[in-house]
This record gives sequence, C-alpha cells and structure tokens, in this order.
Amino acid sequence: MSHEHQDHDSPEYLKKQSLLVWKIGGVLGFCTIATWLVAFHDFGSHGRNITIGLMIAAFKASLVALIFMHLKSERGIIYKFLAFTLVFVTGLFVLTYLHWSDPLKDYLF
Amino acid sequence: MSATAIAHDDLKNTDHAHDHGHKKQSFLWKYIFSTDHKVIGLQYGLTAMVFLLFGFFLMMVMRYSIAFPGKPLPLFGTLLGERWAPGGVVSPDLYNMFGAMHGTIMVFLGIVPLGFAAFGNYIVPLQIGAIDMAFPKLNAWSYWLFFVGGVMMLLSFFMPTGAAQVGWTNYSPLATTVQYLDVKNIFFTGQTQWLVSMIFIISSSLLGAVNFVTTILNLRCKGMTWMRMPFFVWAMLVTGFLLLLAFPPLEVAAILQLFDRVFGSSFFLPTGLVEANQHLDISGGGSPLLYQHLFWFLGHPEVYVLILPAIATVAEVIPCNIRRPLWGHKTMIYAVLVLGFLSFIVWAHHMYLTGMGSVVSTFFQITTVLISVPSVILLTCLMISLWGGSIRFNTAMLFACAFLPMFGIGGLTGLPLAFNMIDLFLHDTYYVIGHFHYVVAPGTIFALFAGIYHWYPKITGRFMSEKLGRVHFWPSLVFMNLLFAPMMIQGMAGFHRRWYDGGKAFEDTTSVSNWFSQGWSHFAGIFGVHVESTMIGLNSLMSFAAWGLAIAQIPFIINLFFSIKGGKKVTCDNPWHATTMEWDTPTPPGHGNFLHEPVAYRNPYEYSVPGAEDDYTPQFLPDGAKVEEKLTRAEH
Amino acid sequence: MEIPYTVKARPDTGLWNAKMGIWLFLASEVMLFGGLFSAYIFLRIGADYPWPVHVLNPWYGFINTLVLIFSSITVLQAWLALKMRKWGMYQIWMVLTIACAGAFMCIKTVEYNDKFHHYGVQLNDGSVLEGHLVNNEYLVKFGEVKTVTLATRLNAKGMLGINLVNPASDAGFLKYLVEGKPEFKDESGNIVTLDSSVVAKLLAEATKNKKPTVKLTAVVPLKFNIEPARLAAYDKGKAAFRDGTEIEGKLEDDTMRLLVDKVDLRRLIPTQEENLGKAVADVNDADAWKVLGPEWKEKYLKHYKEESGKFAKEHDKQVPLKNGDFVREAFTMEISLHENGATAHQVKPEINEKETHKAAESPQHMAPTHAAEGGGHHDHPEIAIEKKDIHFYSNFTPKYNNYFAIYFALTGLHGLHVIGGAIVLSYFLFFGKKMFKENPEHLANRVETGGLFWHFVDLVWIFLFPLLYLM
Repeated sequence: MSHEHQDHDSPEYLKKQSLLVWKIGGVLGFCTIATWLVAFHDFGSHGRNITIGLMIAAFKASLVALIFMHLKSERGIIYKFLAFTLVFVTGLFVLTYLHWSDPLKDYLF
Repeated sequence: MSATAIAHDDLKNTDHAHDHGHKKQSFLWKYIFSTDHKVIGLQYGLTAMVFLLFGFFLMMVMRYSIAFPGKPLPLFGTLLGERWAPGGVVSPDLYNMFGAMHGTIMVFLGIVPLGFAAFGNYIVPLQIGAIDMAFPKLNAWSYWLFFVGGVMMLLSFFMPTGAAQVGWTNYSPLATTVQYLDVKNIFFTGQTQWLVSMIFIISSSLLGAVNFVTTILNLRCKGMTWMRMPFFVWAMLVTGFLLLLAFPPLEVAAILQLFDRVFGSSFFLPTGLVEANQHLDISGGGSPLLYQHLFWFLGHPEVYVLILPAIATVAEVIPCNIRRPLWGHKTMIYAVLVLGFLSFIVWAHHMYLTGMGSVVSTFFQITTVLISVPSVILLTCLMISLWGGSIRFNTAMLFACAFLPMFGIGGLTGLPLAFNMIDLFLHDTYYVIGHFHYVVAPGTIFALFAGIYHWYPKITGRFMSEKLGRVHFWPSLVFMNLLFAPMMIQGMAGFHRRWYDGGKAFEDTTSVSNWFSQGWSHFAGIFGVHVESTMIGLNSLMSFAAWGLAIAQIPFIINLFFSIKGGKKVTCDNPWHATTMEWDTPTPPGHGNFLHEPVAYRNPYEYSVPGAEDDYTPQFLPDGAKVEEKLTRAEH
Repeated sequence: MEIPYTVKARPDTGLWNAKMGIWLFLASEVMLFGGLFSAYIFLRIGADYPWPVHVLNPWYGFINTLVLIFSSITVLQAWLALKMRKWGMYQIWMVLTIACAGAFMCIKTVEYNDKFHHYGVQLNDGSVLEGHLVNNEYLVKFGEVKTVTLATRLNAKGMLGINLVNPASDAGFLKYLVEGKPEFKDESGNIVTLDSSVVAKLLAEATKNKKPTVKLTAVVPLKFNIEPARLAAYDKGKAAFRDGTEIEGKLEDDTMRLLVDKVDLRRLIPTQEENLGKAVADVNDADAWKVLGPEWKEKYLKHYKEESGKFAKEHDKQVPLKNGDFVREAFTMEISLHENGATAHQVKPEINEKETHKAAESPQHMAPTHAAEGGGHHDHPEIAIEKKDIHFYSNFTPKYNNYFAIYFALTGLHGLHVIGGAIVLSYFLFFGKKMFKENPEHLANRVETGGLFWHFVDLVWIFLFPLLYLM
C-alpha cells in the first residue's frame, strides 16, 4: 500500500506486470489440473478430498484476488469493506450450519 | 485522513459546480429521466408516498374485516369483485392477499424508498457538499428499476390468481405450493410475480447502496472530515452498507424460490410434502429453514434500514430547533456503527419457534440483547440533547419530539421478544405486530414527516402551513396510539396476527377481558353502540383509530401540494437558521447545487457557541465571517 | 458540471469513484454467492438422499476453467495495452476476452442440453434407474376420446375483476391430437371444428352466459399423445390439462420406455444403517430387479462382490457403510450392453436415441453424439416401467434433486454474470475509441473496473468447478 502511484504507469512496470500475469495464469492452470487429479485420489475419506480440493481453490482464488485484481497493492479502505463482508459471510455460513447443534440435548436427555 | 491532509488537486473540476450554462432540457429529460440527485430524490419520495398511501388503504380494508367480520365492506366492497369479496364481504383470501401486500408495499416500496432513497438522495450530497451523486446515471437506473419492480408488484393484483398471499415474509413451503396446482401458467401468478418484482427492487437497492457509499466516501467537499459529517450522513452510510451486504441473501432466497416455483426444484421443500392429501410431484430433500435463514439475514438489517434514516432525520431536526449542539455526536456515530455491525448477527431471533438448537438460540439471544445498547444510546443522546434547550415547536419539531417516546415504546417492547422463553408465547401474536408497528409507524413515519416539514422550504422555497401541520400532528399522534397500543394487550391475550375475522372463530379463547376492553365497551355504549367488553371488542377501537388516522392525513396531503404555490415564501436560504451544508445552497438548489465551492469549516452542530454573535455558526461559514441572511435563487 | 474523482484518485481514500463503486458492488456479489454457497452447504449437509458426487463430466468444467483463466489474462493485457496507449493491442486482447466469454457460454449450452435429455426414475421402494427415454419422449396416450370439456375458469379473477392474463382453456391441447380431426358437436348440436379462434369464441360465449364449462362431443373418437408436464392430473378415463381443459376417453398407455445406463440402490439403505448384511439384503429385494430382470441382478451382485473385496483390501478397519465412496461404488452400477455382452432382455431401441458416456470411461467424448449423425451404438437395454411403479421421475433439471437444482442455480447465475460482463466489455471495445482519444486514462479506468468484475466472475468459477464437478 506504500507504492507511489507514478510507479504504476511507467512502461517498464507495465511490461513486468504483463509477464507476471502470464506466469500467474500458468500457475492457475496448473492448480486446476491438480484440483482434478486430487479429486480422484483416495485420501482415506471423502471429507479429506473436499478439504484439499477447497484449499487449492482458495489458493487459486487468492492469487486471482491479489494479483489479477491487484488487491495486494490496493488501498486499505477496500480491505475494510472486504473484511466486513467476509465476517458477515462467515456468520451466514456458520450460524446457519449450527442451526441444529444442541449440546444441551445430549447432556440433559 | 484528517482534513488538513486532503490535497485538493481536483479543484478545477469542482469549479464547474456553479456553471449553470448548460442547455435547456425538455420537461421529460428534466423531471422524468433526470440524473440530478434532487429530482431523483423527489421521484423516489413521491412514488414512495403513493405506495405508502396504497399500503395504508389495504390495511384499512383488513381492519374492516377484523372489526366487522362477515359484514359487507362499504363503498369498495362490490368494486373488489365477486371472486375476492362475495357480496362485498372481505373473503379470507382477500385478507391474506392484502396482508401480504400491505407488508411488502410498506417495507420495500414505501418506507425504504422514502427514508433512505428519497431523503438520502436529496440531502446527502447537499450535506457533504457534493455537486451530485458519484454515479448519476446509476442513480436514475436504480430509481427506474425500483419503479418497474413496484409497478409489477401492483400489476400482480390483476393476475387471475390475485397477488401474493402468504405474508410479507413469503415463507416456503406455502409460498411455493400456493397458486401452484390449478393454474395455467405458473409464471403469471401473484406469488411468482412477487418474486420477480422483488428481484427488481433488490437490484435497485443494491445499485443505490453502491452509489450512496461511494458518494459519501469519495465526494465529500473540502474540509468535510469524517467527524464533521452530520449524523444524518453517517446513518445513511451505515444504511448503505446494510443494504449492500444484507440484500443479496434475500436475492438468493428469491431466486431459489423462483426456481422452486417455475422449475419445480425443492430448495425449500422437505421430503414427503403433502398438500390437499396429495403427494406433490417434487423430489423433496430441501429445507424450509434455509429460506428463513436467507430471508431473515436480510430481514433484520432491514429493520435498521427502516429506522436509521428516521433517527438520522430526527437528529437533524432536533438540534436545529433546540438551538443546542447534538449531545454526543461522536457517541452516536460509534453507536450507529456498532448497531450496523450487530444488526447482521441477530437475524435468527425471528426463528426461535423453528426448534433451533440451544447454541444458536443462545447466541442470538445474546446479540439481540446487545443490540439494544446502541439503540438506547442513540435515543438517549437525542433525549439528553433536549435538556436545557430553548425549543422551537414547529411542526417538524413536534413530529421529532413525538418520535422519541414512540420509538422508545417500540424498542422497549421488543426486548421481551429477544428472549426465546417469552417469544414462544408471543410469537406471531398481535404483540409482535404492535411492537414493530410502534417502531415503524409512529416511529419512522413520524420522523419522515418531521423531515418533510423540515426540508420542504429548501426544496420548494416555501414553508408548509403550520396550522395544517398541527391539525395533522395531534390527531395522528392520538390515533397512532389508539391503533397500536391495544395490539399489545390483545397480543398478550394470545390473539394471532393472521386471523381474518379478528378472532371471532376463536371466541371461546378470546373472550377474556380487562379494564381496557371494558372501558372501551362503556365508552362506545355512551354513543349507543354495542361493543363486546372482551378483548375482541378492542378490534373496533383499533379499526376506528385506523380510519381516523387516514382522515388525519388529509391535511398533510393538502398541505404538501398547496404549499408549493400557496405556502409562505422563505426570505433567506437558511430559514431555520440551521448549521449544516445543505442550507448553503440556493433555494431551491439548482443543477450542481452550490454557487461557490463548498467548504466545511467546522463541526456540523455549532449552535449557541459561547462568544458567537448569532446562536448558530454554520459549517460553511468561514472563520470570522458573519452570518449572512440572503435569498439566492437557482437559475429556474 | 463534472463530478470529481472520476479519473484521478481522491487523495485521502486513494480511489477513484468507479473503483470504489465496483469494489462495493463486488462485496455485495460476495454476499450473493456467499448466500448461494451457504445454501449449497446447508442442502448438502441436510440431504436425506445420497448427494450426487462425480456425476458431471469434469471435462466441461475443466475446459471452462481454463477458458475463464485465459480470459482473465487477456482482459488484463487489454488494460495494460491501454495503459501503454496501444489501441490496436487493446482491441486484439479485448476481442479475445469476449470470444472466451462466447466459448464459455457455448460449452455451457452443450452441457446443459445434455442434462435435459438424461432422466432418472425413482421406483416406489427408492431404487433409481437412470437413462434416456426411447425417442426422447414419454407420452401419456389416450384413445377413444369422445368428450372434451373446455373451462372458462370464471372464478379465476384478479382484483376488481381484471385479468391481465387469460386463465381459461386455450387450444393448446390440440397439439397433442394424433388421430382424427378436431370436429365436435357442441351442446346445441352444431358441428364445430376447433382451433384457437373457435375455442376463444366458444369460451367468450360461455363466459357471457356465466357457464363454467363448454362440453363438446367428438364426431369421431380421437387419440391423444400428451406430454405429462402439460397435465395437471389424469386417471384411467380422464385427463385434465393445466389450463383446465378435460378430455374423457380411455387411458391406453402410460408406460415409460427407458434405455437404462445406471442403477442406483443407495436410497434403499437407511441413513444410519451400519449393518452391511442388512443393506445387501435390502438391495437384493429392490424393485429395480423387477423391471430390469434377474440377469442384471446377478451382474450387480458380482459387481458388488468385486467392490467390497477391493474395499476390504484397502480399508480393513473402516465401517464400509460410513465410507461414501464405497457406498457410491458398491451400490450403484453402470449398465451397458457393450461391456457386459448382450442379453436376452435387450430390445432394439428405435432411432434417434442419444447415448451418454461417463466421463471417467471416455473423457475424449465432449459432446453427446447424436444418433442421427453418428449412427449410434445401442449400448443400453431398453426397459418398460409401468406408471404405478414410478414414484418420481425427472430429467436432470432442477426438479430432479437439489444437487442439480443448486448446480443450475449457481452456474446459471454465474452464466448471467458472464453475459453481463461480456456486454460491458463489448461496450468498452466498440464504443471506446472516442474516449480513448479524449481521455485514455478514463477508458483504462473503465476497463480496469470491468476487468475487476470479470476476475470476480472467474474467481467464483474457481470454487464452482471443484464444488460441483469434483466433490
């Protein structure tokens, strides 16, 4: 976030960016193949497959967000929006997921 | 991000603000397809008021059915058609339909557009010293999406099945299976059209919210630092975020329910669902609870979308009319931020009766009780502000003052509902209806009235009539309370919210009485009208209050339209001697708003500053300058 | 009058308006897809039926992932080209991006189309047969139809008696007439030949006289072959269309003819069941064998033995019924004549059927080959299932189960985003020249904004691919 704005417009910087984008694209393609291979490999339980698959997906997603959407050189205010958004999404996931969870029931009955 | 750090290298852009030399626009482009935030604000305001009036009309028909079940409805009875009102008597179907549409129209087409979109659009850019919204075209788009959604919602009354009928919450599975089996085309049913219109309305709100937040963050004028923003702007910022992040899950719910209805999926339909002794031709395996979670994830922040613009308006009206600074401006800002955050994690307190597990239910009880803290802070700050002020009781101030106790009652009656033990008994009773109507009707709507009376001179250059204002205010206050207070009493006696006959069919269980119902019976007896002395007798009290309330709005409507040409003219741009930026504009503000580059020199509520010559020091007044009372006209 | 910070960033927030706007919009998009993903999780965890795993052809998803990643790269290159003020390069990269969007949607269409022709039939005990309909059709056949009753639906009325759409019968049912001419005697004995205008006329008259129905008698008995989706209900002597029209005659045939490619017995096993012996016993009595025949049952038992042997070798300590992969392998079986050799049960199917290939077996087959084009292999046995044995059936559309429902909802909504993004980018491509000349930085900002949205669409797909295709 400390980059000077001017840097981002120089031709050398832009050329470097262009190269970086191709590299990251390659990594993403490679990860896609990996996701597929991993899905048909037996890790002992399906749950583990899901976890590993989603971890790769999350890695890919963060590459897209950080490099393609250049979040890594973006201003703090965007991070603030996104932080709140993620908190609420997580809330939506976790709280609906927990709907039936009732330790009291096991304890009392 | 302090004020001094803002380097204004873009001054040349804002310099154009006073450039009014644009070409003449035709009426159509100036008032219909305008991209000017003020015109769009007015469009929103007028459309929303029409919807409010219509929603109110639906409610009056319902109140007739409750008070006089089985009796033909006067005037409109035969007009509604044999299908819906056989012999002019309101049928249960009609009651359900009006109930569902009353809620939907009031919440999504009435109050949100009026409070957030109309006031926000008109006032926010003026208060932060911006020449327009950040995305004027998007602003027009969001109005027109709202308009199309609203019109579709109204047209759904004319589907062969009538409009949606399962309540404004539209719970599945009923919402999926109603108007489903015996219709020619499932798309052209009221229930499906409800979903389609909601998708339009939600999209409109999302675009609006993006626009508001961007405008507030990026278009503040020179010197308008975070803490110099009036509370109104802060509340709109928070409301914008609520809409932005809470509406999408409802959009998901609407889309999935649309799938269920149109494509026959079972997102919200459990396995083995039977209707009319028939297994439905569905795969099942879905969950009605999923719908409720997605709906209430919006539903609760939506409550704050309804109330925050109201509190915000009151927070502008009160300091101006007590000639004192708003007490605890910063505290209120932090409170509203906390309120916004918490409002996202309280939603399942609407769902205690679904049999949720103790973990979630405990969590939601705690957060629900917690959220009352910032609400009380807001209300307390407003009340303390009154202390020691020299209050100017104009109509706006009357409404603002009435807002405080009304919102207080609405809020405090909500506290018991936060606990699931109590909620088990009060859920879906009239107690709940009374509670949230106290928040929304005498709460929000009074505050919005206050806003209309307060900003009318800026918008039109004339005052609204104070006499008619009082004729509007006092009966409204009385009737509002007669309408909603008995609901709490009935609710605690166990009256269910969806009885179309007001409990006649359950007379055995509703034949309790107390001093209140007996009192009403005696009072009616004086006029020779027989009213049961039991709780059910209160129905007629509330219904008469509702119709009285309708009559009390007539002076307002007259006032609103006749004052445009017939009201007392303002003599300066700042007739209330207020301090915020919107009073720095010509009256009415022209395209581009300000005649010179707006600068905020100080905090927003500098009233009665010790040592100052006048009892107000506007934000836009340079240090050492004198308050100048003049009337500038925009280029009209 | 110009709005500030449309091109240059505001110093204290560091953002120009559109960038802040698009990030806010993306935050709301995160909530939108977050809501959908949480629905996915909620439905999957709460599913009281075996959640389909590995049922989609991953090649579609894989290629689409690569297409989207490539388009993300090209849109960035387009933006960088604008930053370097190279209009020609910008155009090339942008055209490529939009072409990618087109390719993505084409692949999607092929994939969707596949699903529309693949059916699943759940029998009364819960066993499921999957396959294609013979001739791609399932018809309810009515013969000796003598009476047709048109409904005016007087009572279906909107508010104030206004109807924006007509609820009454229309002439749609005539589409299913296969034998005989639509000549009828009306109640007063006149002969009428029905078409849409005559139907409308008759109903208008009846409405005027406040009659709920118009009864017509066929001059010669008629035959109807009707798609069941058009019917609200039917029994042995009567069929009611959704528009209220009723025909009376004799139900001749409502047997479904299916080219079975898979049998799935997992629904027979109770969710909490741990006793493998009991599960196998249940599966032994499945209704599926009544329609498929004993040869397939034997083949299945052999298949089961192989699978359970394999499982025992690899996981000796696990409870087999708790392992979803095992259950999936052992209690379902692909049915193909080609592999197993033809049996006596086979009936030569008619032309026009489509074949499917499981991804794992023949990944090189991207699109289903149409029998009309490729001649077709008749790989799958044709069976007849009586209506009374069917509990539920559907093609692989949202109706079939919530997996396909959420699949269509997620990918459909994602597809709409792709289309929307492509339209916006096309606008920047075709109408950007003027802005490029006047204020190239503004255009670059716009493309960056559109690009951010485009990357987000890509990002969503990155999660959709494993969630829907692989796990």
